[in-house]
Amino acid sequence: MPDVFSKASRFDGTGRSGITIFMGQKKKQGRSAKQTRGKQPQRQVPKSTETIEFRVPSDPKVLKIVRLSVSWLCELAGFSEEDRNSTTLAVDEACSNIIRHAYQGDIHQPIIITCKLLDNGIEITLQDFGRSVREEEIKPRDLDEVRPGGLGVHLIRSVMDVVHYESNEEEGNKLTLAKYVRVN
Amino acid sequence: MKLSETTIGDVVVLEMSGKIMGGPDATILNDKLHELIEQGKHKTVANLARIDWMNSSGLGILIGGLTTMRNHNGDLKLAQVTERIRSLLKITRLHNIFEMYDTVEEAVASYEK
Repeated sequence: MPDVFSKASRFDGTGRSGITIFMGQKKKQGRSAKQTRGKQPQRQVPKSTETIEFRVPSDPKVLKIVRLSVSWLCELAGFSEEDRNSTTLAVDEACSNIIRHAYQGDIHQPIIITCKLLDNGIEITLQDFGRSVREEEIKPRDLDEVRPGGLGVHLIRSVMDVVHYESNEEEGNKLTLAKYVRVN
Repeated sequence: MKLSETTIGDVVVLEMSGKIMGGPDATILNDKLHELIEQGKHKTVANLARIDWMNSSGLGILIGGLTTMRNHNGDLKLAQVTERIRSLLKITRLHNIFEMYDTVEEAVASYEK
């Protein structure tokens, strides 16, 4: 299978290529969600091979496609309807934050969404090349203040099992989210 | 989001459908509520039965609507809140802020109490 992932990483900076979807197997990497900070860092996360990568423009109009795709992947992962909806919402909120804060409303920039189907859930990485976000901007706000705004981060942190943000010049900003299938 | 209204007594029921996601949706609700305030109608119920998707911006729109109505001695009560939206309200602790009712009739009747 061709190494479509290195191809995807050759970002031209224009974001004009529309929506691109890569599917296939990704080489196993040493890093996994268990190394990230989150509510369940101690959990053993199996390395995944099933990966789907989307590259979409930072246009709110394409978020419907992202939502449908993530929801379908969550179904494949074996999530309940409730967990499917909450994970889809978290990804939607994360994309909206990238558009609003990292790209400051520019709808022609790329967002790369990599979804890994794990044996026990799903790991989703959202990558952008916009402004890096300050730590205080990704902290959930005090919910005792009844006002619009700032709820997206709280929603993401509430519904996902792992939330990890990192930023560097080479790879831009990466938000890694993971959700595990609940065993009743 | 689509919005239509029905008046029951002195309560205006706003039938909302589709997605509440920010952007133009904020203007639609805000304009409607200000129109009602100008007409002296301060008691409102938002029927959310046909809302199939809401994100944090949508929650923000509802909070904005609630604040507008309460600032004018009125209210924006919620009726037929789906499980999905109820869960969002709970996560953000807004379920304590909004008055929620299982049916539109109960929400309308609550204004008589």
